[in-house]
Amino acid sequence: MVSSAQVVGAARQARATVEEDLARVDSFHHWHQKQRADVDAELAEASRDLGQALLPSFHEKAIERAVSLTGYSPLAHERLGDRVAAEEAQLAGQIAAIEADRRYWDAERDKSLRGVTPAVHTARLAQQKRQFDEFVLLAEHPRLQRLRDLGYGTPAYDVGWWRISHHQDKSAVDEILRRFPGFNGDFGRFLAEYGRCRAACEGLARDLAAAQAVERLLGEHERLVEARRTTKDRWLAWARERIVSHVLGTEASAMSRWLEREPPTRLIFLRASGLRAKVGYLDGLFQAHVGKMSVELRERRAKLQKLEAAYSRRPRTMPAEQFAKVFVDKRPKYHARFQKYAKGYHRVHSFQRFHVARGVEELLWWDVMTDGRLDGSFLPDVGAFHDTHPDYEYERPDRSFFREPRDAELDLSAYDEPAAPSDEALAAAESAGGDHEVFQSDAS
Amino acid sequence: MTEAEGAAHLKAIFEAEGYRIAERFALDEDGVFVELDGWDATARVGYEYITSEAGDRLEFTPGAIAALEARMARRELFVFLVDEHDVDGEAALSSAAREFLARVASLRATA
Repeated sequence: MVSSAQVVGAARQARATVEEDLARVDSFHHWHQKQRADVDAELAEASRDLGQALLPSFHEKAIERAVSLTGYSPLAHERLGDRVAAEEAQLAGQIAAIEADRRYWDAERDKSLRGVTPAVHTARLAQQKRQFDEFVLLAEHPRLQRLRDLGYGTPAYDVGWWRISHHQDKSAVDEILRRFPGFNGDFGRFLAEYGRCRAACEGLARDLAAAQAVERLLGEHERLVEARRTTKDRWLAWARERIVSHVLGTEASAMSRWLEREPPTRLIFLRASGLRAKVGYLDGLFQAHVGKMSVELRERRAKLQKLEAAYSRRPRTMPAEQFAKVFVDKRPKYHARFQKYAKGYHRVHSFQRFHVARGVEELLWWDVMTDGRLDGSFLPDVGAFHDTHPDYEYERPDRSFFREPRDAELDLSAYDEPAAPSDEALAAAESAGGDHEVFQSDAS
Repeated sequence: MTEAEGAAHLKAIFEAEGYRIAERFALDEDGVFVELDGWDATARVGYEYITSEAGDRLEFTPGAIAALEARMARRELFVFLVDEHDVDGEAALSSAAREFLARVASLRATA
């Protein structure tokens, strides 16, 4: 039998070990977050590259090529040219409406002739108003308006001294004048100054509101001009996002085969597709090992705390067999699990040879990244792949695919759309009433 | 402050200054007919705490107050008129009442 003191001591020691392990788990968590952020950034860049490669511009031919390469047919029916033209026309109308506003031109004139921008004008007015505001704010009193209305301090004030309101008025005046010693108790002079400040405040508030409206107007003009300038780019980015989302959402093997016709585009796709898989694997690995370990450690800590409290509160003995079972050293088990995790994590994280997947018929990135040497079926994506491909077996690609692609293999220029049409061609297309929008090639 | 609290507070202040107060005094003089909360018939000094609760506003109409004030302007009598809406606590009421009584004393002294 083990004594109560021994049990409590062992529980404390075991808890200290658990705390150390938890601290290590936390540091793994931070480390994973950092790695994850780096891979996310890489994926964002690869997705941009893929969008640009798939759809370099809005040129009719470029759209045809993107649809044919990826099978993303909605792109052919989006009438992107019409959308761009419609938005540009709408923006042009809004810009023209602002430019027809006299306030816009007055502000532009002030800016060019006197160098006073609306923001500067607004700031000046606000500063002027602040001086009067301070006086008005300091004078604030619940009876001040009444005193003004009744003409306190003038013959017009006719509240009899036998009324309590007379005393209240007098107290209010004393209180207000105490805040403004400069008036030497002359409430009439104070009221005149107060009236002047109030009027100035009201006038300046009107001016300020008008100046702020002009500032907003100019800001809106600037925003619209920028929106018109970037209309094509924004729509292009929108279309690219959609096509990239389609391409990366399609099974990698199928898309890789589709893109065989354009090896450089395929290489760009493989990088984006591989990075996307990498993000999922890293998260899955972390969750399956460290995340699970963290839950177990927290549960063990709670159990040990309970045990320690129970044996401290009511001393008793514990059978030696039970003691050995409760306080078994779990570190070797955690160590082994961490080793397994670290091995897989490192393999996946350091993988950069996405081009190798060119030589893979059925593409499961996990096997490409680990060279088929690690079992990843506990990961949701890998498990799902095996479920849908029951006969799948990883085949290592031919050695030739491990070689880094040469510059010529990365050259996309052969797949660029034809040069921009001439003005004559555009005019001819317009007069023919063709409904294909033709744009100049965008430099992306 | 309720009608009863306000009237009691004023009574205490007036009596502390030496006035002999009769409560709920019906003043009926020269066309003025009102019931005052407190009145010293000898000194001809009193007070009225006007509240809605007591229905004072039906009695102390603008016309009745104007008639009372005309007599006060001629220094024939002095009634401290307190509207419950103008009372900002006991201390303020006391201070205003004392100021009123000091003014009355000063006027009487110079008469």
